[in-house]
Amino acid sequence: MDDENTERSELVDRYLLGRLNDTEMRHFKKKLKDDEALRKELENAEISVEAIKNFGLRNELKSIRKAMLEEETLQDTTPAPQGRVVSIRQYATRIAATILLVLVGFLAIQVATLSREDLYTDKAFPYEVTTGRNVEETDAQNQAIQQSYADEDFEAAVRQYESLSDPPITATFIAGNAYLHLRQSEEAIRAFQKVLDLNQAQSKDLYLEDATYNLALSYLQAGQYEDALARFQAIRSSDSVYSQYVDNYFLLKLRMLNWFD
Amino acid sequence: MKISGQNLTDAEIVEALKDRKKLDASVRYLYRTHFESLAHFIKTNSGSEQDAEDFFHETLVVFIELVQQEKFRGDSSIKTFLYAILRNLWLNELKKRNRTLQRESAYFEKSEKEEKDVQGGIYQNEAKKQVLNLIGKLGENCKKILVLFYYEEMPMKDIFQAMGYESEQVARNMKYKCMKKLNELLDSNAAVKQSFKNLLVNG
Repeated sequence: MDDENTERSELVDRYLLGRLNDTEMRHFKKKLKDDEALRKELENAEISVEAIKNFGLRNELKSIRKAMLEEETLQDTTPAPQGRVVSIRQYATRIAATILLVLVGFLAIQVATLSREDLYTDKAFPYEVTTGRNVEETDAQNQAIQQSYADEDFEAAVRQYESLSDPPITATFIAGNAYLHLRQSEEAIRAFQKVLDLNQAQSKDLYLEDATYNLALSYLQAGQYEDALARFQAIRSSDSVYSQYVDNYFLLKLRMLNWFD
Repeated sequence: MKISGQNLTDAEIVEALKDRKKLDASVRYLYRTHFESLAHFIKTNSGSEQDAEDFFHETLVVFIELVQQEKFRGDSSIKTFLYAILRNLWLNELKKRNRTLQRESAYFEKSEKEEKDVQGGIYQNEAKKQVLNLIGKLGENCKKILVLFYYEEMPMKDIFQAMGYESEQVARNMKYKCMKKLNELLDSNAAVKQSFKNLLVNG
């Protein structure tokens, strides 16, 4: 390659690409007037460079558009024929996962804050002695126990009850309540169960609904959740006046206690 | 400049089109905002989907070159200007196909100055396309090295590596030979050269 031609070509390039400094530019313009070969070189180069830039721009635009269309195709084909099903399934899975997460979170909070004592206190209805209510015996034994209970001397009530060789239903029921107050759950269970047994044996219905409910409470207080749950569920599905106090939320919490306590 | 933003002003787009580093983002923006409406014009005037693609591409070439030559002054919106270019290009095409324009777009506002700029851009484009045919006669390596050097303005020290040449000097020699070949092609196509010369003289 001829050095003079190369030098001239590079000078033209630097001029067309705007890389000449002021001195070089003045020198280039002066030389252009005197140098026919340089003028011809520049004339052709100007045309060629303009066309090359146009060619380059077209190529770049084509590349950009091609990339855009490929990206669009990729987005369109991602759902595919079965994509909608997959998408709906994924959507449903996400919803289910969210619900599960919320439920687990809710349960976790409930478990963390749930206690047997709170659940018991929430559902316990302290029995109040009223004279003349369901009284089958009016003897001194019952009256003494009732009085102790009314005075909230539960220990005295229990002592009096335990001193009886053959306690009547009322005394047994009041003793059961006294045991609950004293947190003597096992004794409470036995007392309320005995109330139910005595009623059945004597074909009576003294304190039946109260004893049934308090028996369930006694099992709860004792931590015997499965027995408590079975009795509360039976109450809920019965026409007992206590059924209104046994709702699903309470049963759920009882189940959670059974699982986690 | 917030080129990746949702809404760009015409001034921001024009500035981005002058900067090669922002060309990709600005061209994508023009496609996203104007392709559908301009394609609709083509398709409702005897054009196909492919015509819409081709002529929007051609419209962008004309528009970007006018912007880079500072010939888009912002007297009208980019949308209107693009439409004016596309309409002229498509009218010329319809004439070639012995068809006429059937529907005008509601947002086309005629402006003499704008029309002159648009016509000038289209004339330039036609003249350049003739030289493009000559470039097409060059080998692939020639086209590549010339684009890298003159369009992308890549330094020779980078070009020789990009092209896989042994040295920078080999790349220089290659580029020189390619330009020489293109100049010879121009010399042998006097009509093409003359129309381009007129273009350069008249701006």
